[in-house]
Amino acid sequence: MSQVSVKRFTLPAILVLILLAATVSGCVAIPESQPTEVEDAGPEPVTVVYWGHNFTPRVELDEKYIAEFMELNPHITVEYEAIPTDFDQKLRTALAAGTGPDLFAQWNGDIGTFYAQGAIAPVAFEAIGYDSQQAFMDLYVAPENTLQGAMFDGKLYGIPNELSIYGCYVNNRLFEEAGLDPDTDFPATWEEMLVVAEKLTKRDDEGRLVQRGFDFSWSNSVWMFLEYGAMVRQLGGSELNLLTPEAEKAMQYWVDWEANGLGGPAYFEGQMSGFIAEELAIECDMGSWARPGVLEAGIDYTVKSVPIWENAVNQNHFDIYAYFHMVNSRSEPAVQEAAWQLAEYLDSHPADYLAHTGLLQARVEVVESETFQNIPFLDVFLDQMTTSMYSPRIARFTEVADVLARVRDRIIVEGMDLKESMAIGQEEIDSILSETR
Amino acid sequence: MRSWIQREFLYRRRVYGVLFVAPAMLFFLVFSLYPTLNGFYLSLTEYTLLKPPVFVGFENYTKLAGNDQFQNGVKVTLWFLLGTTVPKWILSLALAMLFLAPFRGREFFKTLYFTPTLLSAVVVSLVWKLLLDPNGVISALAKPITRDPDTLWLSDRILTPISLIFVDDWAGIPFFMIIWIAGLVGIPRVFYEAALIDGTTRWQAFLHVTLPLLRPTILFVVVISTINSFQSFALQYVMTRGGPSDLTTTIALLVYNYGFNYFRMGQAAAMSVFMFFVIILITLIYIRSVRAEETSYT
Repeated sequence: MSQVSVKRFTLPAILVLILLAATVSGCVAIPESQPTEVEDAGPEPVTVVYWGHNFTPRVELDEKYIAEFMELNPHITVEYEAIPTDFDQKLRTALAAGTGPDLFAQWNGDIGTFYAQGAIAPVAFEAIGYDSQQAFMDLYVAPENTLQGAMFDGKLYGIPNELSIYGCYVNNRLFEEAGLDPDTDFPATWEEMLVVAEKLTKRDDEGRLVQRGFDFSWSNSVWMFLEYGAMVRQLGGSELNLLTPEAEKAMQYWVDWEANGLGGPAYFEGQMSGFIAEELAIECDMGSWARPGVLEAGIDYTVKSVPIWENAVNQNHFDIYAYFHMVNSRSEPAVQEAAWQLAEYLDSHPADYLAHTGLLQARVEVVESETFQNIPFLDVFLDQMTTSMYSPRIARFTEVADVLARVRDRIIVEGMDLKESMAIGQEEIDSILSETR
Repeated sequence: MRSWIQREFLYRRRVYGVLFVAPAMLFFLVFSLYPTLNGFYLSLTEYTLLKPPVFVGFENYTKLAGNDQFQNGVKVTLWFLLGTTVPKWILSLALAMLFLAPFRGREFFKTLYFTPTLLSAVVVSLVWKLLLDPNGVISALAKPITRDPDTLWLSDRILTPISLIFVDDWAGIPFFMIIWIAGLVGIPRVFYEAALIDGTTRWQAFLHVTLPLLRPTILFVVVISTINSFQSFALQYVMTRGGPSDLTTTIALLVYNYGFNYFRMGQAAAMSVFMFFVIILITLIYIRSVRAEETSYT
């Protein structure tokens, strides 16, 4: 009896619920979300996996623009991941396993290897609305310099989402304490730097180095490579050829720096730390991105161009470097196209990224913007970019950088003759490069 | 009937046994055996991570023979091995014997001394990196001896390897001290009493009672400390990145550099395989020598 009554009430209840649900859904349904003939004929749904570095201010903007991008391109779903740590390792391992992202933002140090191994795809200009590569390049200030880092055989393989170059941050207080004027006394050449740094260097009564005038980035071989390479190129040489007077002069300068007690590998803790602690008067290993940290530390500062040699043959300061949006060549063509569209969408808001993250993209529109004009010393960084070069876009860049660090350490730490150490280094570099061919 | 029941029981026991062991075996196959075999395979290939591996036979092994960095890595590893095993064995055993003797505050000091074992290698490395800074605490404390205002603990060619060995010993000795204590506690007092009646000195009792009865513990301590030293990575990576001038680049660090920084995974795998066989060889020698001694006693 009870079963019958349940059945008797259940069936009408279900029917009423279905009708109610249909009515409600009909009222609240968004017409666009219903399948229509127009959508059926539209592009196939595509999912783009995008990996970026976990730089919080940029992640917030990325998320905002990715949401906008997906609204504008309903057929494209973006799976965005800001990798918290070990981005390089994770990216390399994922690419190896075939599970790499379709789009990723990576610095130019790996781009030579990625290109040589066919891991990245050239920019699809038509997909992002440009008739030609040149039309796209014209968006940038001095594109022959600023975009060169992603150029292989005349083709562009990346869109920069951050362009940078080191400048020299000067601690005005420490300069004034030493009786120097940061504007007029800052050294324009490496030769003058020796004299100025000596004036700014302080030792305590026991001989302990308590303040350095200037120091190089010694702790990480890649930065050493960039700085040393740039110094060699200023003289018209190539740091891949160590057996030249230019390379020898640059290396001798580093060696003398340590030998004269002005600093050296034992004192270099890393970018910023010495400058922030006001133990270093001039820090030339920081880009425009360092400004918030310097301001937070309450340091009265000036930014100057990185010195060049007295007899420099070109105006290459420390090398330009960039994080490029690159697209995985293993992704499906439709995914690659969507990935480039996403990259271009993200990178087409340079003023917003500059204002909120301090990251510069060097597009003409951002340089002309009020945001750019209002940020002190940004013009110093941009001016350097217009005359400087990227580090060589070679495969196994990091390995070559390590060779150079070993050349330096053999001389400084082991006391080996400079020429002998450089000859060993040249052999190692030749061996590495011969294996990449 | 009875034998059928017995057979059925044995059969079921075997089946259940296999089922119980299966998860552990599966775990071992997937996470130990497969990676090991795959490592062997990769060592026979040229593999840049970005393209599929290409079989090259034993080319990676022949290249190792002429690779200066690898030879330097072997040398650095062997020195590090020597510095971080022998002192560990002796000092941790001495400390274990000290903490076995009754004295006021023994448990407190034992716990305090064990604390470094609870820290991760990365934390230990970071803390010691700060302490060993030229302007750090150790430089200041050591100044009356060194007479140098800026002692370069982590960038001098002699001091750097010694500093790393010291830190590794500092962090590792307490762990082995606990192992020795466990071994020492397991030796029945009756043996010492018998030895005392026979008129032995404390040193003789140590040589002829303690050491022979500690043989299983010795084997454990020696094998584990050797393997740990061979595989040391975090210390070098965090404190010196292998520098200065590759003076602290152990094989483990070199494997990492070759695999993940230089895109030479095939050569990195060949180095790993080399290290694998060296560890196996040393372990076998230890086991054999201990067993040989056991046989000579029986």
